[in-house]
Amino acid sequence: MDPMATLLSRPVLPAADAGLPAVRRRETELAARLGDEYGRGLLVDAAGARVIDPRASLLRADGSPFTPRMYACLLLAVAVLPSVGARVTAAELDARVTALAGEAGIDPGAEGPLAWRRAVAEALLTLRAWGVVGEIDGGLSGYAEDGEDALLAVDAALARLLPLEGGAS
Amino acid sequence: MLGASPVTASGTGSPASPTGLAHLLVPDSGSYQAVLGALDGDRELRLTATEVASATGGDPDGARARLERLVAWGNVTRTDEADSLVAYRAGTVRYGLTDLGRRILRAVSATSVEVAAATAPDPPSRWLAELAGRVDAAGDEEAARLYAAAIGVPSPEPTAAEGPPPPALDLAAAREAVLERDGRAGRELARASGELREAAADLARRRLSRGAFRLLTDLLGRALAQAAPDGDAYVADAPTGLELQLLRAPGVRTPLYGEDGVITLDGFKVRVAPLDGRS
Repeated sequence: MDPMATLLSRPVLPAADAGLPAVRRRETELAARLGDEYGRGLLVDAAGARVIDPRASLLRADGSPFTPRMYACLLLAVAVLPSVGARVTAAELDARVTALAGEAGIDPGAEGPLAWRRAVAEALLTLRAWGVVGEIDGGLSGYAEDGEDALLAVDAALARLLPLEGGAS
Repeated sequence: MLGASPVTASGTGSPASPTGLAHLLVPDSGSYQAVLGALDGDRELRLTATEVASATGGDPDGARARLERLVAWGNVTRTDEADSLVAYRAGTVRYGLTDLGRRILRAVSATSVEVAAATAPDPPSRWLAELAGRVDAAGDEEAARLYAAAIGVPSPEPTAAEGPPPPALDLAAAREAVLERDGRAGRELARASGELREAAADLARRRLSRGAFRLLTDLLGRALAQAAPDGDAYVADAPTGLELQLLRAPGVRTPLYGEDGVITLDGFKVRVAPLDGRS
């Protein structure tokens, strides 16, 4: 696949991704095209590659837009992932996210425990699509709906590539 | 005092650039040093998170979390990766000190190194958590704007990878095409059948069209497949309304001519007739 098409269809590429070598080889050209044609940036390092879009927004698997709570869960998950290790269960990750949410003044129970678990799972499903987490045993969809735990693999280096320097204003 | 190891005092480094001093900079540094102390001993010492928890007086989940952070900082190495929830919960993953971790642990123990927590860099988790609080309280548009500024990974564009969507299948047109194809084949078969029927009386002296010759060879093949040894053969074909008989005739050679060539039957006579003519 053309590396530009690769980046548009998969805006985060882990280090082991088969499409990454071509992106590395043509990094300068691809960055220029992303900027000129899409107003986006490209960041490539040892952990992988990622596209930066200052107007980015996210959609759920069913095509509906992310809610503020889902965005919040994604930010919290990105915050905790670098320190959880290469293997973690969905429930443990949820617990870490929930604990950090409490420190951030978020009330996880405001919409009920099921809604919170689904919001966390939705954030993790997005991270799965990016290759930051992978399902080893069990699945995130089952965790979202039934609370059935799943063992996840974590690419901590790729997770560190996600926060943009300086954060949000 | 720490040797020539390229250690840095950062809390956010990757395993590719070990940050072996980071555990000294976190608020609960003592618990991390206790974990490292539990692993210190024989060079081959490998403990599970549960064993480390038992040695330090903590709980297994907390010990596992600290061990994994120490893995990320380069102080500790992990032996096996669990590939199932059962294995993960059974604690089959074992941890041990890396050479870097061992050197730092010994150096810290020998010199009582103290590093003020105030010098620790602001970890990304802090501002991400603070931002998450703002995002959670924001409206839809503001939440998306904050996300874009902090992470900014766009949604994938499926059409870019998959190309233009395939045209919708026109079932009516597809059905017409099938009927047309079947109709064309049916008409060709009827034409061949009519020609063969017309040529039946003088088959050995007629040059058949490709379609009629193909139908004849098809009938011959089916008849021969059913022939008894040293016996006659017969096949009836309802779709074309034809029957074909192969009659044993020792010493007789029957040539059959078609656009595609000639078939000569040794020891047989051929009779083709309409099925309705037999009754």
